[in-house]
Amino acid sequence: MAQRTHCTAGFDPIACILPPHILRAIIERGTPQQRAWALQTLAVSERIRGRRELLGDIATASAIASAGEQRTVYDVKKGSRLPGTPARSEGNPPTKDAAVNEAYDGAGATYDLYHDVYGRNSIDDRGMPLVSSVHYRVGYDNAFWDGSQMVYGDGDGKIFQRFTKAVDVIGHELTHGVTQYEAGLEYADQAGALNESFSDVFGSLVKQRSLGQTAKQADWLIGAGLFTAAVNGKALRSMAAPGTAYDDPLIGKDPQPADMTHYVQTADDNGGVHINSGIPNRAFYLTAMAIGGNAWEKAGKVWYVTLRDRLRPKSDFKGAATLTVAVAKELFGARSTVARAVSDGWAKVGVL
Amino acid sequence: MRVKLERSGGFANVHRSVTVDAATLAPSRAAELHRLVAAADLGKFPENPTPLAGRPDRFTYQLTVEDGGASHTATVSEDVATEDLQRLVDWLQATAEG
Ligand SMILES: [Zn+2]
Repeated sequence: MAQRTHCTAGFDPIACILPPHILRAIIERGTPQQRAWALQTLAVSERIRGRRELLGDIATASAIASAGEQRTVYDVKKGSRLPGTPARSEGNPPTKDAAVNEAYDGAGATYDLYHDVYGRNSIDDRGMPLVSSVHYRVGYDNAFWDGSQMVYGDGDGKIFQRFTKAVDVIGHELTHGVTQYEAGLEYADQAGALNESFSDVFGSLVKQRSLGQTAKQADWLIGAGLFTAAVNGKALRSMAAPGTAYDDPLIGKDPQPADMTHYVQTADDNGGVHINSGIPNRAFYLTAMAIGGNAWEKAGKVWYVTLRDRLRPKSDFKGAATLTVAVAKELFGARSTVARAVSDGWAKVGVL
Repeated sequence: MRVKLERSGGFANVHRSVTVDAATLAPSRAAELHRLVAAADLGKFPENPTPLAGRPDRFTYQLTVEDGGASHTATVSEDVATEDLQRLVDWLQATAEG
């Protein structure tokens, strides 16, 4: 039972039960949905084993991988069993359901940023199908990446509207998938806050690129438009001015710190992963503003290469700062404006 | 019986707190609450679970049940919550928001 020893807490138990040769048979002979599922499962198993060669000899797998983006949006119909009923697949025209279309378009905008700018083929860089489910549970105030797909709630209607309304939320969730396949940042404390920050960074870049905005034109807000009119707030987070996104009698004040002197020590929220992410978020904002132009081109490239090649599961803020500076020097030159902007950005938030 | 739900974490990380007191409910609704609490079996979840690295953007639920002088608190991450516990959470939120 050698397979079982590779099973790791937190991964789909099915991946631990089905041996690779059965997954390969499914990839070769299954329905398109079974093949997509088996391919994902095998990729995750490979990741656990630290080996990439398992997939190498499978012609079918590479055919899937080269097929380009493959989006499917499912409707959970207020239930909880994922993924739900297919509502729109790749190439299909828009439906009457706004949440379905937003999830589809947002997944496309995110795929395009990663593909067109960074040369990445989907979440796993192997053309992994992008699966999204909308209308999850009743009045659900959340969106999340469950390890293999995106899930969106409709909001309670009192505080939150539907979570697909903000394209940066969609980019944020998909980036959790990218992080899972690359740096594998642990979801706690500083590593967790970095995991959150990279999701906010690329979520914001998806929005900026789809609106055609330069760093100076962008609002640098995360989740703008999610609050109902009853809430006094413009968004959930502000990368430019962490701590200023909302201040409301019902939900309180935005708790994000803007620099290390205000770092929040807490056991809540996995050690404040959505709180202290304000610090690296602002470092990215300052970097992009100092460089100017489109933030996804240079600042985004440095952050992407760092996430893909350098960060480790337990990286902390200082480690991430040092690595982004090193990557900026390699990509743009030791005395480049970009390298200077990156180190200044981290210095201004008190990390370097 | 009084049941308090505190929800934290999630993509938004906006804290929500709701309390439902069975004494203020119609008898049939109060009976429903008792049934849901029994089914959720909060006793099997610890009050302060060992901190582990979590899953991205999932909620954490803290449920406190006070009944006849006794009180029990359970802290449960959404990704390990049972369907019965989720049903209780959904019911408390829907009831508190009327
Ligand atoms: Zn997140």
